[in-house]
Amino acid sequence: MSYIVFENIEKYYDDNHVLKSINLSINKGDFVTLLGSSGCGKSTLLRCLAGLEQITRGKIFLQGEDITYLSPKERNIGMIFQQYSLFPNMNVYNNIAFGLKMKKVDKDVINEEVQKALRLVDLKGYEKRYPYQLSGGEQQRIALARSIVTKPKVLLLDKPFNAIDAKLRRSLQSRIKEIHKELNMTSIFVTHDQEEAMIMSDIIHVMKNGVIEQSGTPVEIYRHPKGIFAAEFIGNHNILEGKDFMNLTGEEQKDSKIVIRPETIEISHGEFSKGEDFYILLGSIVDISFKGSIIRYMVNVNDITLKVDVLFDDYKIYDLGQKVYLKLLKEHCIGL
Amino acid sequence: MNIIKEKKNYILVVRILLIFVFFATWEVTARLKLYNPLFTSYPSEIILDLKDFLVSGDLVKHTSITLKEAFIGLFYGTIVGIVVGLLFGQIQSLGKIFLPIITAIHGIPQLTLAPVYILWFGLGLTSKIFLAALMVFFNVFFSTYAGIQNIEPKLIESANLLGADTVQTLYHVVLPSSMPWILTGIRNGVGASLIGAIIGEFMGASAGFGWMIAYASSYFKIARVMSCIFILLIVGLILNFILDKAEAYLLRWKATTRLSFNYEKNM
Repeated sequence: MSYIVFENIEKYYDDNHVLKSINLSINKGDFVTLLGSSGCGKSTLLRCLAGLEQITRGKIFLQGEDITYLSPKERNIGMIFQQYSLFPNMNVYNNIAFGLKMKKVDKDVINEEVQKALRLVDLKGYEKRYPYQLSGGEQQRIALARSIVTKPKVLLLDKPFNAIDAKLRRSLQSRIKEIHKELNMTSIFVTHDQEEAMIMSDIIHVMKNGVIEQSGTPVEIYRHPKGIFAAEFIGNHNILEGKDFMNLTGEEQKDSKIVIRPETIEISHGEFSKGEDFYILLGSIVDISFKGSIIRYMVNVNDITLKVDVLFDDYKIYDLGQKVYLKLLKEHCIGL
Repeated sequence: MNIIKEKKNYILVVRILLIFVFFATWEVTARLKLYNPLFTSYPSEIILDLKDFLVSGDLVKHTSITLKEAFIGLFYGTIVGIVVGLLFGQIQSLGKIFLPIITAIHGIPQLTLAPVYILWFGLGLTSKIFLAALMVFFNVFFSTYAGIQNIEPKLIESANLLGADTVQTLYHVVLPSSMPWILTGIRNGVGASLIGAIIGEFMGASAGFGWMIAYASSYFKIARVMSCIFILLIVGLILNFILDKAEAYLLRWKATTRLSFNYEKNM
């Protein structure tokens, strides 16, 4: 039995069909990401689980219990938002203690739990500060402490890093991963950032226009995207029209699109020996971009441009306009 | 540190000097009869009158009556304003039904209704308290309502998710978050309550500042009118001081914005 089950979820805002028969199961302790571009319904799905939005049709189960019609306060679900949403009139201590106070927990226990939560987010000694005295990253950590201190059944993270700069974002990502492991708290994370999704998640659900397009581990989705959308969203795949691919390889092609990951293509200035299970192409380099440990070459083959990623290697750098051979393993050419 | 202190002193000195120059000019020009002092009186005459006013016991009597009317009005107006503001802000359909009605009533200049209130509630304190309370109510109600409209919805959602019920959310989140707006309403309400009490007294009363001002001016006792205005000025200063302190305490969680274009860098 799955921990959280969405069953045929439909959600309309007036005439706008936001969620279209969503069926989704989430296992206890998993870190799950809903990935999609803005307006795809991922945040709405999260808000429906929290009880902040009513669904039009369908059922939501948590630990086998039907929670479809429960109010947010009865669900015991923690949530952190993009805007931090700390109570501005309360200091850090009271913000974190809020949920426990509402549950009429004993004062000494509250104190203990607040200290524990502060330690978890590395902000001990901040008890007396007010939110306006904290930086964005600190506020988000306090918001995290506030939502985990009540030991919720699920932790929801609604684009929590959107307003935080890149460097701090990475350290927060790993902090959240650590806390997730430490507390084994089932977490659902919403983002439009594929890199963030890959780093954080056990399972990714790619959403588009209110539908879940593909579900799987980051590696599965990366290696075998189902559909153009997932391919475009995850990684930087080469996406070729079927006839273009035929043009390149000279082989009959039934699929309408072919997807090839840039790092699976081998590049060499000398010719490869021929073989059954791969294609050899001859092209010229039209653009080079240096991305730290990786160099990306744009290679023109019969007027079709392919992205090729190569690990940086001092001894093998190709020049603009140079003729190169490419080797494509057939198993890496995925038909859609 | 020293520079800031020096600048503060400098501002204080200039301020006192300006006030002094104003009163001195008033005194001198009146005594030289550059205009008819009957209509303006002058500081030394006003000081003498204030002494009379105090010694006769009238000052305390009239001050306490006007302040009593104003404060009782302020109290009820504030309470009702906050409660109705919260109620209409929280129960949206109530707000939708009543807001246009309240706005329409607010559109009537309240002072024109003062005679009506005197007719209803008599010449005593009640009519003045009612007028004061009504004027305070509008100030506090509209600012409270605006405050609630401006609350970040995610704050309320967070409170709900953390297990707060409606009343708890109202008390712990909605009310404190609207406090800056409510305080602005009360600040305006303090002025309005005094206006309400004094105008009420103008219209018909047997005591209070409004009555005293109307009485004195009809006998051309301008020094007395000025005395009353002076006392009101002091009362206003004291009330504002108290409000500043209350605000600093209640809004201690709020960042103070210091916007300065620094025009006087070289001062």
